[in-house]
Amino acid sequence: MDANSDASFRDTLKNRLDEVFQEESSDIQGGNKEDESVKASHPLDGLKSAVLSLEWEITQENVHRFIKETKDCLKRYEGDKVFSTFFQVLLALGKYVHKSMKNAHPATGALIKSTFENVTAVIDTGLGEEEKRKLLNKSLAAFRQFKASVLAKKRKAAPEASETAVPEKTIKTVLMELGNRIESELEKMKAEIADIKRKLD
Amino acid sequence: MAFINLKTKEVQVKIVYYGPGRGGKTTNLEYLYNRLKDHIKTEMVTIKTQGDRTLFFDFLPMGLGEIKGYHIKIQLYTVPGQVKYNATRKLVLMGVDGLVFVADSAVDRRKQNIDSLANLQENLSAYGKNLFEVPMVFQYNKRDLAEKGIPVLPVEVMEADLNHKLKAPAFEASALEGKNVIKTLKEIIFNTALTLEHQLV
Ligand SMILES: Nc1nc2c(ncn2[C@@H]2O[C@H](COP(=O)(O)OP(=O)(O)OP(=O)(O)O)[C@@H](O)[C@H]2O)c(=O)[nH]1
Ligand SMILES: [Mg+2]
Repeated sequence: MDANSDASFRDTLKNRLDEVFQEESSDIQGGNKEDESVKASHPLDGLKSAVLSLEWEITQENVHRFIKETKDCLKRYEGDKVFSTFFQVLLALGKYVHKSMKNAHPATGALIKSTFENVTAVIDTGLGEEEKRKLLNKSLAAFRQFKASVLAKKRKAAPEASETAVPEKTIKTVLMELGNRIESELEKMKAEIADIKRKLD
Repeated sequence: MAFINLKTKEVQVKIVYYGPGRGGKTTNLEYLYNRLKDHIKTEMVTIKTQGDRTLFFDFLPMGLGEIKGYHIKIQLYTVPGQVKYNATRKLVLMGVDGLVFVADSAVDRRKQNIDSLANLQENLSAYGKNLFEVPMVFQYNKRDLAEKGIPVLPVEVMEADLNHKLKAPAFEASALEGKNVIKTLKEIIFNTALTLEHQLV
């Protein structure tokens, strides 16, 4: 390829990447803005940082902090039925983690996070009473389901990571992709072997 | 080696996200999937354990359209970071064209980052490749932890630990917030595609 066409491949590629990923940069800025508004000291800041620390690693210190922050929130919002139910759920989860520590159900972190996100939405976004209840019910349902699966796990003492129901279609796609790869590698190897043979003959 | 089909004029570029367990590889792909749905058009394939650890790998295909008469297809993979899944990691590396190394900025993940990079080198060598010949971009992820009161490694330390000899492009990022996720991807696609250019006739 001559220098000219090199440059044009480079440029075309660069432009194409800018095109494909263009709207995204504005999305990122959107994300930044949100981030800033959170920084302007939010009533749930303390709890948020405790949730993140706990999600990051289950240690005594992180669990204690999480429980303490949850209790603080319970006190602060005790007049509001919806808010305080959220914090009761979080407190129950905190106590559960405290009891089981590293053996806590692997879905605990995600549930704590989603419950926290829901309560944040309820507090932040001026939702109507009905929408608030809807979010609360969602969190409660998830909590109930979680409790059931913890119990089931206890009963069964399930082997780690074995029971994920992966849709058959997904597995097929993956296997096909892998198969193609391996086939192409095999083809290459066959060619190489044939080549070596020829040289030996 | 990229899959280049001269007959159908299709180029498949395989990019693998590598790095220690829980470093944020899957989160990168999830962010991309959500932001780029229009260009992706297929589903993201992800096989997780009950919690959020990657059990097998994640797979996200996307199209870049036509450049110089070739349909450019990008395939993004993540490896499972957990130490015990090395066979899968090795398999996913087969035929890799470009690498994103997602390092965890949290202070106590320092050793895991270094170990994972060594493991990458070792697994590449099984395919007769080494870190210096495969295009690579470092992503120092989870920078947002600092704002949440969790100590992070200074970027200079991470550079010295991981990128001292390679001198690959590196970005600070927060996959969770989407910061520099796209920038990382653009950089690796660009650098990888340039190395493949001479194979296109
Ligand atoms: N604070 C913060 N958390 C993050 C960031 N990126 C990922 N995480 C969190 O880190 C945890 C692990 O992220 P994953 O994307 O699943 O990590 P992974 O590298 O795919 O892990 P394995 O599949 O085990 O190799 C999740 O709880 C993420 O939400 C980030 O930029 N900042
Ligand atoms: Mg993963």
